[in-house]
Amino acid sequence: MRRLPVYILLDTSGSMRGEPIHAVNNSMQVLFSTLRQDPHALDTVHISLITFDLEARVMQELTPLDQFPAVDLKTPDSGPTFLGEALKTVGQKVKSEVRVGNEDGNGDWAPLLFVMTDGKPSDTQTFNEQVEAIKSAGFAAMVGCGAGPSADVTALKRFCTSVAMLDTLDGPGFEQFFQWVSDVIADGSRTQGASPAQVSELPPPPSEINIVI
Amino acid sequence: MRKTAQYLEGRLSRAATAGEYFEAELLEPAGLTRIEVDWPDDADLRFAQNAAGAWVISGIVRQAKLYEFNFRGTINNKDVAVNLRLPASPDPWSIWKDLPVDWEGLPYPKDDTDQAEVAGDLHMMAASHRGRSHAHKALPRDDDMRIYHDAATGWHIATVADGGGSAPFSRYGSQTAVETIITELPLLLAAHMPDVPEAGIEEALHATLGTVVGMASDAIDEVASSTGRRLQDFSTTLLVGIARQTDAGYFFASISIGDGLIGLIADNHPPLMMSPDSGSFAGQTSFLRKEAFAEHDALIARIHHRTLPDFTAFLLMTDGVSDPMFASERAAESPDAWVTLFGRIDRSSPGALCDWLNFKVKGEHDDRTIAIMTPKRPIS
Repeated sequence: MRRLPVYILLDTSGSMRGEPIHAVNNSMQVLFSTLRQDPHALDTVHISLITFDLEARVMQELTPLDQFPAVDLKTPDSGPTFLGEALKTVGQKVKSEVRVGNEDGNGDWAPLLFVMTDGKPSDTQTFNEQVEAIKSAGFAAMVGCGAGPSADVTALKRFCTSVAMLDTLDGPGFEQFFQWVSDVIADGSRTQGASPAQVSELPPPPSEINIVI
Repeated sequence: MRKTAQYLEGRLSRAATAGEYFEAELLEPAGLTRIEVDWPDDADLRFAQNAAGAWVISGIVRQAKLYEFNFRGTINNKDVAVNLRLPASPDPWSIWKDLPVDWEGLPYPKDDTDQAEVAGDLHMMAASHRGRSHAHKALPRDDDMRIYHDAATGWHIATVADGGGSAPFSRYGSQTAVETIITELPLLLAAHMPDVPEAGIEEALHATLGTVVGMASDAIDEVASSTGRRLQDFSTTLLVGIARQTDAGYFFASISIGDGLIGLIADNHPPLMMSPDSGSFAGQTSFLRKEAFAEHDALIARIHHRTLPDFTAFLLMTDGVSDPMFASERAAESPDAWVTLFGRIDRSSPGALCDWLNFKVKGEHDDRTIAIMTPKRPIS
């Protein structure tokens, strides 16, 4: 069976503590309940959840949507934002988990990547190394979300195919972004062209979301 | 004095599906020696410790919703209260919708299904069915097909096309392609291959099959430029098969651009009559474009032909049928796999064939189109 692998990278650094992480938890819950109403998504979508703060952590390995358990993200009191480590982890995971088609079996749908951060990468050197690697990892789309005034949108633009910007770290903003995530995922298992020029465009984001690129 | 229990968030290893038995391990909190639960009414659940000492929740939840309940327990002789969230998905088969397309303001209308039957020297049947994923979103069928028998020349023609899912007018790309084949190919065959030639077969097929796919591509170019729409908005694959009786038995030839499969079932002969153009990831394929066959040799490589004394069936199908039916490209090289597939097809009538196309396979909900040629047998 063809799977649609989806990798969600969420910033859980100290600055996300309190209301922001609470809003992300709620929005994730809405994202999952929306996707679970979509029979096509239930059949094909597999999600991996990776968080990053002072380390990158695989919170949930690539799991079929219908088996994905409830998660409750927590944040440390303070600390760095290891986005480079997170990209490194997802790169390794994609290599080992996503099935590429060959004469012995049909491949998965090209995977999707979503990255949300409210800061800038603290592990600059690793980040610089991983930016190029992630671009050749085979993602059909890499959607970034810079949340709040301290988010380094330029860093996201270096590898993401689309970057959304949220002015504030609150519930409505995250809800809008995760609504878009849900739309992109629901749309992700359609026929894609073999060449980059034929890759399908993403569904339009909710009007409240500002797209940087 | 009443003790205030410590409040904890529980974590399970997996979620549930409504109406389906499941087991999930309680990953957090660890170290529980006792659990006491007020179970929700619409669920039949229990906790038990497995051989490794871990708590496992098992049973059946009846509703598709997020179950949220509390339980009390003991960790290191201290009372704790744990909040547990258990998401339950619906059975996906129970929530598919079959929504009609709202054609108001939409160009290029197309029926959700199509079926055809033609009796020539061979028997031909074809059907096309809108995929579940399209029906659920009120989207049109993007596949198309035609079958044709030219009584004057004895040629049988079958063609199927799969409009690209991400192209907004691909339903008309596929339609234009198959219509061009059925209009132009009989003329080309009459001119260049009134009979199957002894020699120069490849050049004759290049002049007929090779030329006609170019004409189909031109026809789509023409539609795009005359409407001011983008060429890629009409993206489609195209598979064409031709067959006729000869003194030696039967002659078959095919040409293909993109995915789907063409197969010829005849004893233990290699069944594949095409070289699939699939990408590394699912859904990536080539579409009908000039670049796909600009060079003479590239075009020749897309043409396959075979002469056999007898055969069971000649089949053309879009990937909506071939993907669920063949686990891999290698599986499609096995004559037995094709015999198994052929045995499953309901060919009792074109309508039955069309209904059969709606078969259920998890994760496979694309438009499905098939064209079948079989020998005419005397009724015993």
